[in-house]
Amino acid sequence: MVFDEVYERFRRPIWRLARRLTDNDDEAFDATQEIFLRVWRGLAGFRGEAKLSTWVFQIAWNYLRGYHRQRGRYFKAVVEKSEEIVARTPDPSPGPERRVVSSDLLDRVIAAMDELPEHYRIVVWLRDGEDLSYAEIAAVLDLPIGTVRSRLARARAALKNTVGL
Amino acid sequence: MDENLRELVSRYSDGDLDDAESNRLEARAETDVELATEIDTTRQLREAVAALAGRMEPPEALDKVMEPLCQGPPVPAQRIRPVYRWLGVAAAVVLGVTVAMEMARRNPSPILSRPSPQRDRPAEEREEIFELAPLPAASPDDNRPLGAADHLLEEEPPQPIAPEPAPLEVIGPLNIDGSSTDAVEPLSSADSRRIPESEVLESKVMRSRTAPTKKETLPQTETSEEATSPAPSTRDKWRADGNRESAAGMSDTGKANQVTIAGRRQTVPVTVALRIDGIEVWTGSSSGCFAGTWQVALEVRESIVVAMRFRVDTMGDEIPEGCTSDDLIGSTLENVRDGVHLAEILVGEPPP
Repeated sequence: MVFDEVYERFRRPIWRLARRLTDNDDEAFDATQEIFLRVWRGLAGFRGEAKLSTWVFQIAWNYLRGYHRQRGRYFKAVVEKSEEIVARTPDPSPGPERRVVSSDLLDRVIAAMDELPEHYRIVVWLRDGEDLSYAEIAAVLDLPIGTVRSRLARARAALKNTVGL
Repeated sequence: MDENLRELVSRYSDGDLDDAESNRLEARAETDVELATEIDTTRQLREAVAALAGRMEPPEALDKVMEPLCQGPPVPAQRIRPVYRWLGVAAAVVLGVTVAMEMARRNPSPILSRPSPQRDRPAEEREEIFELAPLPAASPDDNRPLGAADHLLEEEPPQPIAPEPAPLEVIGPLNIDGSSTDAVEPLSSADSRRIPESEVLESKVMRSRTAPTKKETLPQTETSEEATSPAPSTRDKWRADGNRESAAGMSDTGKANQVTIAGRRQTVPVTVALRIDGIEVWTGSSSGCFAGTWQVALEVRESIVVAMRFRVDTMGDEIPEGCTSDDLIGSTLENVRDGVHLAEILVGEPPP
């Protein structure tokens, strides 16, 4: 496995994950560098016993979890203004009404995710944000798959309550 | 909503249910509005989170930073083969043993062996005979005087000439009727007369008989305190002795305990005797003392006088320094048991 291929494949997911789980762009930038440096160091020892995505996300999660533990603070997701996201993202179905609805919903979702406990937030993010399967999430978080299922259902219920859906 | 139903909806929205479960849930949702709403809100939430996650691009600076890592494959760390690892360990062990043996050879330590069975036997007395080597014979020249110093050493040392003893002065009987000793008027020179030694001694004996003894009033705890305290100067010690006596309740009986100072300060060594219960236990000589009889309390430990105090501080600052106390403390008293003893010190007159 060549590193540049790994980097090209996971640069966006890892950046997003780091951006979601840190407080600002600078911290996410540093965290992403460190994660890929660890991937680069460990790539020679990667024997394909696990999926590459699982292995990379495991490294990212282990670093980000320790990253926040070192700072003694609770997981705080990035609150990025949804207007900025919507404004710079090409909307496949443009229209003033949809953009307004999406912006409002995104704001509420971001705020609700900030209030989620860590173990709920990471599950929702890996499933809905990075589209990992239950099995992959279980492998990354080192949890039984049944725990992932129940935890995801509770996290979504909590999110819906907070968002007001 | 039921927890299980909520989890089913969550799994249904993720496509985690099999076909049968999915069909059952869809059929139920057609009649259950709440379930249908739950499925719809879950779908919306998933789409919102996906939109939030999927619309972010990493900064271009990240690619530049990662460019060196992308240049080539990572160099795997050099691993030491187990054979070489064991060889290194073996070499270290051999080296350590060699160094230890060499150090033991150079610095032999006493070997601890089992106790010999002969250890329990009584030691045999050995009579060791030493022969002294013969001293070198002195040559006849060695006994020859060499100079003036040898001549002086050969001569008899000169005998010291004792000064003429000063005439005794009768300073008169001290006031024993209770008035302050400060009120005693010194005798004038005209009243002073030279008295023979026999008269002085008779006077001392008579007055010492009039001095009652109160052994029971002497607390022994003071003696221990005095023995443990640092030794003050002689004058302070004597004055302190008087103060302690007052504190012990002896000053109120000072009149009765007062002992006559029958003589005058002696400037030449005179005989000093110490009596306990009328038995003379120590004799010596001292100078600077007033002739007379002194009643003192002695503390004896292991036959050595460790402390002494006068029962009555009759002289105040006039108590002569270096008199008796300095000679007695530290002296060995034979056949005197340990403890505090009431004793008499007899300071005699100088030899005529």
